[in-house]
Amino acid sequence: MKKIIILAAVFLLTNALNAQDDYKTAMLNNIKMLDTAVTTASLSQIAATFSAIYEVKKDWHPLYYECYSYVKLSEAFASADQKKTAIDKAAALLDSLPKNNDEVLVLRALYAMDYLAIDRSAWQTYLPIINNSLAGAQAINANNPRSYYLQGILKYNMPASMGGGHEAGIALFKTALQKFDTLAETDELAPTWGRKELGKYLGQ
Amino acid sequence: MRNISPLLLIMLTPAFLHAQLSGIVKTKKGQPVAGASIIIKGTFTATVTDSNGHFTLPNTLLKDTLVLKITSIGFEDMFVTVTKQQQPKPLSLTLSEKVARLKDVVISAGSFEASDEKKTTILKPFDLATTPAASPDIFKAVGELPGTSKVGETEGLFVRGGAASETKAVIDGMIVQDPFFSSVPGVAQNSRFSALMFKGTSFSTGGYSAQYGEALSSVLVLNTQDVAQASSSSVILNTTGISANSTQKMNNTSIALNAKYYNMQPSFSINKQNFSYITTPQGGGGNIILKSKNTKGDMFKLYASWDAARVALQIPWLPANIKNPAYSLNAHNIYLNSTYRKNIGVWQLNAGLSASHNNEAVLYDTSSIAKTNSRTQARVVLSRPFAARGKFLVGSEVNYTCYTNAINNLHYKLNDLLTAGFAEAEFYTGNKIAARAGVRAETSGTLHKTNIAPRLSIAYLLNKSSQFSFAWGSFYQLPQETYLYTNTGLRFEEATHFIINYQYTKNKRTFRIEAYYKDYNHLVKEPQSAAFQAFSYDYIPSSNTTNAGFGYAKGLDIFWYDKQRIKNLDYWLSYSYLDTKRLFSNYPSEAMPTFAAHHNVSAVIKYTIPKTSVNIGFTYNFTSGRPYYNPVHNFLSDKTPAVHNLVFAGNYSWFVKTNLFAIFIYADNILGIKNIYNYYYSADGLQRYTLLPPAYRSIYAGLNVTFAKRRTIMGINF
Repeated sequence: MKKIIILAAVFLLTNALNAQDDYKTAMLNNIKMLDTAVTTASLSQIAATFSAIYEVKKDWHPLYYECYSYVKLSEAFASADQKKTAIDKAAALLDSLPKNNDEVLVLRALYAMDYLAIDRSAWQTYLPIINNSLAGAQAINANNPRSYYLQGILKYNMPASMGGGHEAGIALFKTALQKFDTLAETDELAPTWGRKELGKYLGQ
Repeated sequence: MRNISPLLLIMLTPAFLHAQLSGIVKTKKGQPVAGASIIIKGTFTATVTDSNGHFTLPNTLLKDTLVLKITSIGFEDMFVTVTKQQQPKPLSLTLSEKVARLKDVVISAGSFEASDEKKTTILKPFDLATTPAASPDIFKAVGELPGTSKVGETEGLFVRGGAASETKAVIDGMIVQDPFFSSVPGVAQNSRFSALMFKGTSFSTGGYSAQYGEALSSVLVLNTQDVAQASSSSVILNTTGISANSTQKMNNTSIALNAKYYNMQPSFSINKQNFSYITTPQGGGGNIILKSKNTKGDMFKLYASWDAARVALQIPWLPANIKNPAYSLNAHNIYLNSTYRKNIGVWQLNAGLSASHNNEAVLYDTSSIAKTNSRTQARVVLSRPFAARGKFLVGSEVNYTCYTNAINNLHYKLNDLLTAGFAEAEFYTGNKIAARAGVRAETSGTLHKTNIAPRLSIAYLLNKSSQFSFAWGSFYQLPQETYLYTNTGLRFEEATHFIINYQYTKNKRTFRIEAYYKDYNHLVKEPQSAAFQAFSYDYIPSSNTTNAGFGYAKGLDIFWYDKQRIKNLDYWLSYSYLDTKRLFSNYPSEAMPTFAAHHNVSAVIKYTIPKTSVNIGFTYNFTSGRPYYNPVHNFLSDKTPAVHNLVFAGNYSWFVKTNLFAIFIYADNILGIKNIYNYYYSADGLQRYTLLPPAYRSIYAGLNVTFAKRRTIMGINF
């Protein structure tokens, strides 16, 4: 009887550890899929999986990635209607994410940039969101490479007469690259996006 | 051991068999739902439906019972329990469409709204501010929306057969007594307010809220910007003058100082004028704008302005026996508007105090005319949330107005104390109906009369992208001061509005069609013996006036707005049809008024050249002929020619370090069409004077430099 109880206790403990492992494995698998996903079908699938993971483990990581998947999905869609639907979904998820987190702030800036791409005329509302979020992210973590990457995109696409242009953008991309290279990330589930996309700009 | 074995079995055996779970997700109407996500609760397994609504959950861990969560945008979340027996068979799942959220229903009958804060509005304040025009004048921008008629020679908003005096402008709840610069006969003036001052604009072409009164036709409700986001200084130099601005932002407070001087001389030397000026229009002014808020959301706003203007020109078309047709005007205006907003528990208090004084001195021929008007207003409104997402408000206001007019030695004076109380509730019943019901009561100290004006608006949501609205209400206004000078025994003039509206909005496209009927009653009527005056600068009617006038206006407004078809391009088309007749004022018989036109068309197009900061835009306006008075024909049976105008506006901006430079150019009537605004006849009908636009074609250009420590555009850091 005693043996069985010990056995059961050991089992339950390993089970719990397994659950922890399962969570991490599922997250890493899905993040890996997200890295290469381009089609709207795969991005929707990935978003759904992150939402399933979040139902099991109420951690900010799956919610963050679900939100990011919807932002990517919005970029992948062709019609303004579908883009808007996906970006609105991302907006709803952003509100449930912690506010004082540099990665969440960077994601908010990315969301606002994509929103502006759909509706230019909303710049008076969304440009301050982008600027304040990126400034906030850098105040929390001056080494967050994605914040410089997004600032770079903003500059890169802005007409040179407005203080933007390719050169101004590339200077920021170089800063971002340097931050990526010196980054000592301890969190396995931390976002990694941006590094690969940088190559696209710096390769040009 | 025997009673433990089941426990062990569950714990130690990998009892989960791998299998597939599949199915289809449909709407209630049987249409497949693509992109719906399906997750198995408590697992990391999820999938999405394909374009046919099919899904498979591979490698499903079969348990005794599974709980699926199905979600899709626009549908209610669905939870399904699937027993072990059901699992091998394909599932058929039906999602119910989410009833469009209540806030999607907007009371749209009679109202055009531009706001950054409300997502449901068709227009953004920026859309109005960038309407191609010489300056971002809020009234000019609103004048491109349906329901308005253009009257070339007169400023003001002529809404649905109403005179300009039937529209009131309201800033932060307070009536603006003199929204336009003082005018001389035949030349329309700009308004005092730039569209850039406002974060929210609601233009009502009828059926407006019980919060507002003193307007038979329309209100233009303007809400000023909050605390500025950045400090900056700017200088604007253009062909008509110079202006300077300095904005300082400190924590939760901002102060802006503006000053301006203008003289049309340089502009008139480039653009040939149809009028002959003795003194070119010139003037100056300044204002202070203070905004302060605290962390609780309480807000204090103050706007104080002063301006002066003078002009002298030949007005040759007035009564025939004029010896010296020189007309000169000297005008001064002061305006103060302060408002305070405070949250007290569930209630929000909005209080305001405003005062204005306008002074005009006119010399014409042998006459000297001095006119003043002033308004002091105090207003308190308490509002709170009401039922599900509704709102309830109650308020009161006091308006003290004073008019004086001295024509040579004849003095007229009018003081009125108008007290008003109002209550209004906005509520939602079911999921598809929004309603706003209100009542307003006003008492005038001059008339010794009270009016009670009920108002009702209802919106019914047909589906996610379209809705029907209806509005009805009674609207009152004091007779014009020129009537009250000689007769205070009159009563309020009255209009009743009926409006139905259909609106379709999808993505960034909007289609709106609105039909209305407006019934005018108790309009002031002069005795039959009074001669019709097509134009008058000093006419004060006799005391034999009555409220026997009446009239109607009915019509159709159509609006199409597309911000989507072509990247970087926005355009809107607006058409208004108007049928109206009145017997009022000194009209001898019922007729279409001189300020009404059957057809009005506006087309506004704006384009940003990709990868540049160059914006260009065109506005085209068409106004069909308006009635004019020819004494030898039937009363107002003649019509002026139609007026066409094509306007071009362009701007280019660039930063030098953190300072913003912008050049802008504006060209009015680029096709050089020889428009005619009106005809004036001598009393015997033998002589005719043709009133032309101030210039056939005009070009105007300028440079705007904004100095700031950080890159800033329109107060927003770049």
